[in-house]
Amino acid sequence: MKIRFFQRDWLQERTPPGLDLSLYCMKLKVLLVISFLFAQAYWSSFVYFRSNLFQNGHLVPGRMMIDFVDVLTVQSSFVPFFGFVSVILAMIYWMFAFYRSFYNDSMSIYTMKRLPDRWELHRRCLTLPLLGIGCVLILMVLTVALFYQLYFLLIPKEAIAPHQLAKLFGLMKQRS
Amino acid sequence: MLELNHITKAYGTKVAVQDVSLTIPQGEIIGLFGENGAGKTTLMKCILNFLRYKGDITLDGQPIQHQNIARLSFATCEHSFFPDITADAHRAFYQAHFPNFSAKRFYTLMKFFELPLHQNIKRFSTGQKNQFEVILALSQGADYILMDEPFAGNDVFNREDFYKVLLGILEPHETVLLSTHLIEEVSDFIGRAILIKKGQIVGDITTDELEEQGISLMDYIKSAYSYRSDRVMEALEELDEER
Repeated sequence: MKIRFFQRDWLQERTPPGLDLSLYCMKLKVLLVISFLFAQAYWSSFVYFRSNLFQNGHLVPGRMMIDFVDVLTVQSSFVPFFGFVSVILAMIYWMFAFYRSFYNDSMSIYTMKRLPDRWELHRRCLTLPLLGIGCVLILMVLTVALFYQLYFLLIPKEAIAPHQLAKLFGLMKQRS
Repeated sequence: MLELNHITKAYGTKVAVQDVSLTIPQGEIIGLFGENGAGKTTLMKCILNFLRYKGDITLDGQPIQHQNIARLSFATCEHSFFPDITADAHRAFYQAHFPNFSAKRFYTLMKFFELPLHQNIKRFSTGQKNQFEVILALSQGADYILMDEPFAGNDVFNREDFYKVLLGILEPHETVLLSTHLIEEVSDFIGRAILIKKGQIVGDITTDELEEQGISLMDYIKSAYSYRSDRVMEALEELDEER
C-alpha cells in the first residue's frame, strides 16, 4: 500500500495543482479499456479469412491463411488501431488542456512562469499525457502480441505461411 | 538593485511602454501611478519576463532569469494563485519551490486576515482572494515585491489593515513596487512616486522632495498629468447652453 501512496504523490506533483488525479486516472483506464475493446474488430476479419480455409468443417488441402499482418492491417484498414490512436489524440488534447488550466479562473500561469525550476510548468502539463501515451503503446503491443499468439493457436499449422514475424516487423519498418 | 534601461514594449503598432529607464534600489516602498492603459501592468510584466521587450532589465547586474526570478514576487488583481487548491496546499507548493519562503509570515498573515487554511481558494470572496494574493507575494521571501492593483474590490478598512501590516512586516532589504489608483491612501507610506503616462515616465519623485517643495502627492500627480479641473465646469456649461 505504501508504494501506491508514493506513486500517487509522485504523479500528483507532476500534474497541474488542484487537478482531480483520481478522475483523470479513471478516465485513462476507461479509454484504455475502450481502445482494447475496439481492437477486437480484428476478429471479424480473422473469422472471415479463417472460415475460407474450411469446407464442411474440414481444412481444404493447399489452402493458406492470409498473413497475420494482413489480417491486422490491409483488409481491415487499421480499424483495430482506431481506438489506440483516439487515446493518443485524447492525451494530446490533455496536454493542451493542462496548459490552458493555468489561465482558467486565475492567471496561475504567472506563478508557474516565476518558478526557479523552469521545467516545472512543462512537467506538470506533459507527464500524465505522456504516461497515458506510454500505456496505450504498451497496451497496443500486448494486444498485437495476444492476437499473434491466438493466430497460431487457432489456425492449423499447415495453413500458415512461414516468416509471419518477419512480415510483421517488415510492416513496422515500412511504416517507420 | 533593479535597473531598467530603455525598455520599450509594443503590442503590434500600439506602444505600451516607451523608452523607460528606472533604478529601483532595495528597501523602498514605491508607488507606480498612472491612468488605465498607461503601461503600469505592462512594465511590471516586462520586469517579470512575462513579455518580450526591447531594452535591458537587470537585477544586481544580472538579467532576470530562472536563477534569480525567486527574488521577485508578484501580486496581481488578475490573481496568480491556484483556485482549486487550499491555502495550506499553496504554502506547501511555495515552500517547495521558493527557498526563502517564510511559512511564519504566511501563517501570521493568514491568521491576521482570518482566512481559512483548508478551503479551496475559489470559494474565497473577492476581498479574501486579493488578501491571499498579497499574502503569497509577501511570504515568498522575495527582495522585490511587485503589486499590481492588489486591492481592487477590497473595502477601506481592509486596505487600511493591509497598509499597517505592510509597514510592520517589511524587512529593510524588501522593496515594494505598488501600482494603484488609490493615491491618497498610499501617499502616507510610500517613499517614492513614479508616474507613467502613455507608456512614458512623466514623473519620478521621493516624498522627501515633495515635502521640501511643499506640495502634496496628489497635486504633483495632477500637475504631471496636466490635469485640468476646469474641464468639468466647461462640460457642464456646454450642457447648460444646449438646454
